[in-house]
Parts: sequence; C-alpha cells; structure tokens
Amino acid sequence: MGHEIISIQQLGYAINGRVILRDIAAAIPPGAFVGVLGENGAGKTTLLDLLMGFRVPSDGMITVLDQQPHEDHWEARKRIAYLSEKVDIPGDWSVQEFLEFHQFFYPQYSHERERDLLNEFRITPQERVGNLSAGEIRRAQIVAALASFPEIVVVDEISAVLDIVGRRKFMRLLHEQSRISQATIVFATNILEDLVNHISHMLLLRQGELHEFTTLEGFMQGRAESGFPQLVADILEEV
Amino acid sequence: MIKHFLLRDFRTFQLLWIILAILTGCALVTSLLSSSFIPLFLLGYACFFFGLIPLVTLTGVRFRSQHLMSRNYLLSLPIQRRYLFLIIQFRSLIFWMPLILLLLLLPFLPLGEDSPFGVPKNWYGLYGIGVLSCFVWMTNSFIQGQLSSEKITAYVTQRKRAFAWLTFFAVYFGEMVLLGALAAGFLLLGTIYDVIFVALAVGLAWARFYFARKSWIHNQ
Repeated sequence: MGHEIISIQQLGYAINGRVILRDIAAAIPPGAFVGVLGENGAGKTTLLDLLMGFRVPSDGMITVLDQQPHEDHWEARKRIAYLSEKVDIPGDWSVQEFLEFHQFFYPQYSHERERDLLNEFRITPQERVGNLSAGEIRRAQIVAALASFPEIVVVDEISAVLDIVGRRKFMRLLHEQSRISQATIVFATNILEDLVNHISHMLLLRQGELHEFTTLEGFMQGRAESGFPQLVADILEEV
Repeated sequence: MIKHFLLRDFRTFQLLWIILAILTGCALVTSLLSSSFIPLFLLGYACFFFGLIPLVTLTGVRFRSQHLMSRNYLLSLPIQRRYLFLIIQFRSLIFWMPLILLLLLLPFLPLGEDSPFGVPKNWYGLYGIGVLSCFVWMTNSFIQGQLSSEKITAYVTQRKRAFAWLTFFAVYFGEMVLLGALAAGFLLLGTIYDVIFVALAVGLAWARFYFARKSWIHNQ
C-alpha cells in the first residue's frame, strides 16, 4: 500500500448493462484538494458514490483509508464527511436538532467549531429546516460536516445552490481544512471558477473515462496562456 | 443507537402515535365488550396505513422532498449498514406494535367460546413466531415496494417500466394473498399444520428481509 489516502485502480461501474465508468485510476495523497470535473453524465456522482460505498464496483478496486468502502468498514466513516445535493434532512427539525442528531455519530465533533461555523454562515440554530432555502440547508450541512473535523471531505455538486458569499466562505474553509488540517478534499462541481486558487489536483472525466488525473501545476504546465476554467472547458468541448 | 433514532421518531410522528393509542384502546375495549374480532380487524386496517406513512422517511427513498431524510445521508453515517437496516426494521415495526401485541395476547383474551381464535396454549410459542414472522415479512415487503418503485420509475423505456410494474403488482398481490392465507391458517386451524405454516412464514420473511436489505444498502 502506498501513502495515498484514496486509491483507485482500474475502476469500472456498469448498471443494467450500461457502462457508467471504465478503467479509472488515481492515487490521491493525504491533504490533496481534488477537483472532479466533467460534463453532465460523465460519471462524477457515480465515482463519488463508489467512494462512499453506496455502490459496488463492477471492475477494479477503490480503497479509502485502506478499506474498500462497499465492504462497509463503518468506523472509517467517522473520519469522512459527505456533502451532496442528495443529502436531505427532515423539514420539521430545527437546525439545532439536526446538529444534535448528527453529532451523536461523531465522537470528535466540536461544539466550539460548530458555533464558529454557525456564525460564519449566519445560520439561526432555532430555525426550522423546512423554512430554509436550498442554499441555507446546504450551509447547515456544511456546519455539521466540518464540525466533525473530517480527514476526508467528499463534496458532490453542492456549491451550485450556494450564493456567491456562501460559496466563497465554503471554498475558503475547505482550503483551510486541506492546507492546515491536512484533510483530503474530493470536490465534484461544474462551477470551475470555484476551484481556481484552491485545488491541488484535478481528475477530469470524459464519457465515463479518465481523461486526466494530475496536479494542477502539471495540468497548467505549458498551457499557462489560457485560464484554468477556459482550459478545462476547451478540453471538454473537444470531440 | 436505536434509542437515538426512536427519540426522533417519537417526536416526528407524535400525532400518529396519539391517534394509534386511542384506536388501540377503543379496539381493545370494544372487542372485550362484544367478544368480537371485528375491532381487531379495524385496528389492523389502521395500523396498515399508519405503518405505511412513515416508511418513506424511515428508509429515505428518493421519493422525497428535500424535507425528508435521504438514504444517502443515512448511508454516509458511521453506523454498520446492516445494523442500520435492522434499526429501520425496528422503527417500521413499532408502528404495528399495538396490533402485534394484541395478536400475541389474543389467546388469552376472553373472546368467548364461539370465537374462531382458538389458539391452543401449548402451541403458543409457535403462534408467536408465526405472528412476528408475518409482520417482518410484510414490513420488508413494503420496504422493498418503496425501493422497487424508486427503481422502476428510473427505467428509461415505457415498455420496460410497464413490464416491471406488472411484475411488481403480481408479486405483491401474490405475497399479500399468501400472507393472509398463512395468517388465517395458523390463527384458525391450530393444528400440527401450524409447523408448516410457521416454517413458510419464517422462510419468506427471511427472504424478503435479505432482498430488501440488499436493495437498500447497494441500490440493487
């Protein structure tokens, strides 16, 4: 086993005879901030589902914290935070009730950190989840996720519903988690501008195949004349 | 762990519980006064609906608004997923508890000599296993129903969806008929055939539980 915290080897996934992902390989070191990029339907969410163990790989292998996620090594999930648009919480709970429910599962959960994050994201803990906007619900989930000091943060397309201020704060916090706490961030998004100045690696998917997994420096080498978002968009547009 | 979930459930479904408690009390009193099992059937009917209402929340299927807990959230929690599924079973079964308890008490209720519920006391252990197995079977059938509906609606072609729905309803209907026949069998006959009925109920309950768990954990 190498020093990588997430290892993906010849990973493939098919459902009902339809191939979603094929031959994906990547070795993600601790503290990396990985942007997972690709067009709609490229397989970003499926890759993150496999990483969380929600699906069983059809081929190859994926290991997270030295465990295969679908085998349900549940203790490892105490060190992983998952943020997704597919994560929903009951509308009749207050934010405080949700946070109390959530913290029960994470022994390292910090109420001090929670308080700081609530202030940062301007969330009223007494507010009912059902009265919040989609962006505010995501903010509450970010508070819950980051207050547990995760070693890995898996983010699936949640920044689209955050407003510009929320997005900036979220990216800054993730950046801090990555650089200061050495947390590994795996961040799937379609908003490339979010990633500039934050990511250390990028994993580019095209039609279910790995186009490129490299460091940001490696990716930009010799292509510095174009900005990062422009460059990625150009690659995705190529037929 | 179960307590952590149940405390939330009791608050979320408070109103359902109050209504169910009133109905259970009424069913118990009227069946005792009238020596009739009709109030128990009516209670069963109420439990049927009250047991179905919370299932979407408990299992976290995708048929949800953004204000229901989702399966992805549940699966991302650091709890063994098989154990989490057992917790869901328990949370689902708890809505059937009044009926389960009444059925388990049935042999001891003074329903009169004309009552068809002549469960012999010496078969009581078998009867209890049979009752519990039927409820586990039914609960998992409902859970599987939710998960199958979620899966079928995602099928791309109309033909595939139509075929899947037909199969789904046929299996579901067959199961409910079989369940009713088995339940009636070991409630009414009370003979050595109980062993066969109960063995069938246990086997089918286990199969349903196994497949529902597989579907729930791995989207299969």
